[in-house]
Amino acid sequence: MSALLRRLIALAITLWAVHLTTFLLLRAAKGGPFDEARSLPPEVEVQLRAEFHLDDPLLQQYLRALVGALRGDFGPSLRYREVRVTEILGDALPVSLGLGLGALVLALLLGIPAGLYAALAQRGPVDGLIRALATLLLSVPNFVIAGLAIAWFSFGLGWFPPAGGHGLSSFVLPCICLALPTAAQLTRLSRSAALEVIDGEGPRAALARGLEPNQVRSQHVLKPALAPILAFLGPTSAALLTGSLVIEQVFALPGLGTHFVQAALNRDYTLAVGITVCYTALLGALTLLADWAMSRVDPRVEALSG
Amino acid sequence: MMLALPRRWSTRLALSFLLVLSMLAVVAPWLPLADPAAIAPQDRLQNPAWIDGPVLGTDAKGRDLLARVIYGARISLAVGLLGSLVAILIGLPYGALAGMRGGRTDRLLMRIADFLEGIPLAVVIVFLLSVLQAYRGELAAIGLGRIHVFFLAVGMLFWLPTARIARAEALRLSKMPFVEAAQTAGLGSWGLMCQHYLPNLLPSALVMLGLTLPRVVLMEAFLSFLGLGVEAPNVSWGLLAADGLAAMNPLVDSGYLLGIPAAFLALTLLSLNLIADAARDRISGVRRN
Repeated sequence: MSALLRRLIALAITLWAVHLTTFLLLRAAKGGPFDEARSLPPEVEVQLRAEFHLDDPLLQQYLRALVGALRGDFGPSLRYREVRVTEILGDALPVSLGLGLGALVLALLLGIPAGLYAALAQRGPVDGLIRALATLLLSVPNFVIAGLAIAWFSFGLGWFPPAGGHGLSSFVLPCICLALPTAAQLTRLSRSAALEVIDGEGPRAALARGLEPNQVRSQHVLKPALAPILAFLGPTSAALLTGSLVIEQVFALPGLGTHFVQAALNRDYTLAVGITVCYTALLGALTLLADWAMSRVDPRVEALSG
Repeated sequence: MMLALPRRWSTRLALSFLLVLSMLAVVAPWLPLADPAAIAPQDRLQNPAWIDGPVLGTDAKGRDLLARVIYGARISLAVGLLGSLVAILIGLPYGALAGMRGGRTDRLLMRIADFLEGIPLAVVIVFLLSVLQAYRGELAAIGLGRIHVFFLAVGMLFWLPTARIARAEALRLSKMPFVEAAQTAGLGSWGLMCQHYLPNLLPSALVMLGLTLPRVVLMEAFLSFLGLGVEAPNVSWGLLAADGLAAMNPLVDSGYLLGIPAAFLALTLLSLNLIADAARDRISGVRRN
């Protein structure tokens, strides 16, 4: 069985387990989505519960949800009754994907060069500066960065809108705020990965064979250092997902994170289950992609393609 | 050796800062502070002392920010410490078992860990906390407040890395002569675990604590910010920062409401991260500068 197939099966099992767990967790929650502040007349609630099959046996409810989920249909949102969860996901996913991918690219573009540069400038003042900056950035929660960014760039300078998902300009600040802590993490990681290689035998042997220092840097330092950085992309994507929960909230972007937190607070079962499954699939896909990239860079890693 | 004073001045500074802060947090009830929860509308949004007003000013409901920051330290640090302990209490035995048994047990336990790594755990925790919200009555009846549930939830989130460290360490121990000798002499698994593995894993538990603390403190801030963590009348830095962010608008200059708790949070996390770095250096055995 090819490695890729094995990974896909594992991902499918993970998705199923997440679906089951979230489904059971929410069914275990006392009180339904319909007992909010203003209580409904009993007849209406009975009718609503029937409409959403909330009084069927648990197994039957679960099977219905599972079959629906397999077809990509998570049922109607319990909160916004006219709308199907899949529609909300369809609207929210592009927002979150745009934000997440933008932040990922930004973090990679900032973090990896900074870390590699620091490693090559070992012990110099530049190295110290980059490391201090990375440690500092890692210590500021992203919602604080977001608050400061809004205060300066939106309220102060008026360069970017403080909230809302309209147009590219409203994505600039969220992307930066989401990317910065991750960039700091990547900086530290790529620095230590490159140092590991530099301290090893490879580059010295290459120099001894008479290769140019620049050639050694690109072929014998940068390339082998990439593997551990790529290995970290899975956890990085997880961190970005987590971070986006808050960043979307702060900037009022209508993405998965905002919907998820609202759904969790409102006990909108179907929507919350749908978003969790969606998040898990995203994380799985990104991890798979990262591992595939790693197998291209590092021949010792089992190739996913073959 | 493990407890020797750190060599780097930055780590020492970080340690001192945390010590002072923890002491302030512990003795907060006996300090001459205003009541952190006392609402005084007539005193709302007073500027900090460096402009004109009480030491750190007051918030949008007239509560004294200095008192709130120090009481917030109590909760933030307690959550950090207890949450990390929960993570270690789960992760250490788990990893130790995998490393000690090796073979099939090891493969199974690590397969489970890999599986859990594929789940966006933060999302599941948000989920769990919101479900438990509905059971606060029952939980309170058995003496569990929301904050206790919170320690458990956060601990569950961060035990995986500790399990991996414990496994690597236990694997190393399993090849040590004294462990092999004990095994040959007929000591059972339970005895081996209690007499040889757990005591020898204690130093790495300290390292795990160092590595986990900053993550847990950050997570507390993050969840409280979302409205799923600490709640009024308790205060934590995450909650204060959320209040500060909510009070922010372009007309009133109330940036200090976000800035002050954020500064405390950032300084604490910076200190914890510096200590975590020192801990990481110890565990990898090499010092990179």
